[in-house]
Amino acid sequence: MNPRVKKIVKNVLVERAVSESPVVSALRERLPDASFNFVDKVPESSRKIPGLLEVVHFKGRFWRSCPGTKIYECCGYQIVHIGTQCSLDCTYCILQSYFESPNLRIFGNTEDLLAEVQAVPRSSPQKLFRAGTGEFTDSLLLDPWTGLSEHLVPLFARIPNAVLELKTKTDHVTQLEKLNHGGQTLVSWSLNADDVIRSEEPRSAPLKARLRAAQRCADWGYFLGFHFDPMIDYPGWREGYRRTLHALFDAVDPSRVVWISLGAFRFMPELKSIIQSRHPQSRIVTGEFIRGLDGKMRYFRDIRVALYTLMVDEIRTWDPSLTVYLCMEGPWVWKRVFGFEPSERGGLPAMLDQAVRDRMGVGISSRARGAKNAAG
Amino acid sequence: MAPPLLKEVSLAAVDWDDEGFAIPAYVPDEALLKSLEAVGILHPPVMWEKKAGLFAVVDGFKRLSWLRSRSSSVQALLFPEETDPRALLRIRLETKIFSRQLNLAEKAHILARYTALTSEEDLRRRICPALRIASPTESLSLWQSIAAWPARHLSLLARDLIAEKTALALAPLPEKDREAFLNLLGALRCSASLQMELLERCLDIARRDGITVRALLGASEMQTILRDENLNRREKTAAVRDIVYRWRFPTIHTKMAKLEGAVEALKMPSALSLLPPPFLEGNVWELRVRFRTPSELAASLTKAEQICTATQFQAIFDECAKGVPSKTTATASVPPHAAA
Repeated sequence: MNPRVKKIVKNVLVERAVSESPVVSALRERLPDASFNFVDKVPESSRKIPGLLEVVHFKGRFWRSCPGTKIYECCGYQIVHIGTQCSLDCTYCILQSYFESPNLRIFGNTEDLLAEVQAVPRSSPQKLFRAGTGEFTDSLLLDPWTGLSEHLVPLFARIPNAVLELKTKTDHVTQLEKLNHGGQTLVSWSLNADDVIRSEEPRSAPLKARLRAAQRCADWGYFLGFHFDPMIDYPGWREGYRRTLHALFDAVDPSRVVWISLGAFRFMPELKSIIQSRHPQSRIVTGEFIRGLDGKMRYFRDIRVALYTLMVDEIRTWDPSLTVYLCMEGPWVWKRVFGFEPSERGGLPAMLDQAVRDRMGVGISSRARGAKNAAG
Repeated sequence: MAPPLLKEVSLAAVDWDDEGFAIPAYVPDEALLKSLEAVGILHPPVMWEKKAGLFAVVDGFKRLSWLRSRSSSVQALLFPEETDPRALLRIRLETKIFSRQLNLAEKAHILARYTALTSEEDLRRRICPALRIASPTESLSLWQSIAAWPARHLSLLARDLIAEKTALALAPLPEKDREAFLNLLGALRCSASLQMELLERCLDIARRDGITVRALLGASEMQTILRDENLNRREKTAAVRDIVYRWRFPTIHTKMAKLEGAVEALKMPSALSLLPPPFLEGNVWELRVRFRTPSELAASLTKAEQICTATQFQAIFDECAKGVPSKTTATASVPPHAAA
């Protein structure tokens, strides 16, 4: 196992309904020192207990659409819901406002999860699905112990019209090495300027470690994605983000990168006081924010445009054809950054689908795929 | 506890330095003084014989203070020496809570004094609602710290110059920062919502620039406004609000000011108003037309059509499209105090 991986779970609270699940078996095998307790129902708690992992029987939908807005361009992402919460404790994280279940929680009924993952893409065979597990938790934070990717990655390799994105701020990738991914999983990292990583993401993997992990994944044939989100306006941000981009493209071949997303810091107004109280040293909420059309606080338009423009200009020097997109931004910002609006290219989801077809060769007919491979 | 008895007490035997039962109001009670001058003491003050021949005032500090230079004794309700002073304090606090409308300084004092006498649960469930103050767990300790503010700060609270929410937000600040902000509020006497707006923005600037609120408010530009004898309080408030906004949102301020200038350069007739998207978020502009008659509307629409093709009109959109200067926005935002 990767020597960097630090065991973050000391106690596991399991609902009896999922006590025999593969995830619980994996946890028991890979966390021999952890204590396991079994209950009929994990109680809702407002108290955060460090080192506690809850394994519950999830009765909701595992596969759902990302809740976008009509005003800001949504990427049409599909969420594979594997659990909630994260122990990386980034200052800006929305998860810290989820008071009702503050502890790490995963869903133990893996069979139900996998069945839904199989069923949804099959129901619309003409549609290309871009799905990911990193919406309500970090995709790989617990993966060395849960072994969930050992089920999900090979499953996606067998689904012709879907790709899986594992999004993380860790370097927990060793368990991915031997998996049959079939070129249908992209491992992606949330990246930031090194100053921001140190001040706002102190418990996540350092930049170098993330990029080293990305290199390893690329060596194992995985495609890659990178998300500069949230971008922070701080003194020296231009140099900071430039350095990260240089480090990124020094580490990985741009042709392995399917997309890079950019998103300036935005937050629900209620999060400000939570951040100030939980992270008094952080200055991120003191930026020049306005209330956006979706009710979230976001940087003034010109600041966002400046952040994005620098990134796009820099990325273009490394790979002009690499798909770069803005996360939850208005067409008026797209126009200023790229010179076009997504609607002029069929919409953002179509642009990202195209990136999957072009770079991963997924979602195109098998004949075209064969021709593409022969040409490649 | 034995009931109090009505007795004649010599004022020379009162321990005037004992303020164990005092709940200072921090404001003179003019109405009470006028009543005393008119009819004297109506209800007997309450006292406790803390030891034989020595008396502590429990209730009636102002009345006895008034009487002191006018009489040598008073008819008082006297609790005997064996009375538990904690029980007596409790009675005193309960009486105070339900006797009349209390100012914030008194409320803070009552809450702080009651903390030692009852459970946190009782404070939150019964006492706070009775005092009509916010009672989340974290605010109890804030109220207790407010009670320990120096008298000059509490007097601002007592005079209703500081809103409850502002007081709670000021409570965790270092005393010098709080003093600086209270002085500002004392000079402006603005509404509760403006107090919070100013405080939040000042705290954000201080945090962003790594300076104290005191240093921020001590900036010469701010002090010039506050010392300007030609400005009344309302004008000072507007000027302070403007400068704090400029310091807090320099990029937005600069951009919106330029845009405003570009719109003014259009010299639109008074019947027309051009409104950009709020904070330029979105791309929908509004043109408002005011008219009384169809012919006025027609004239305005003709004018509006001419404006659409004017170079000044295009200049507005050009101004909009300009980005921020290449130096970092955060660095550019540092107000003069911090640069010094």
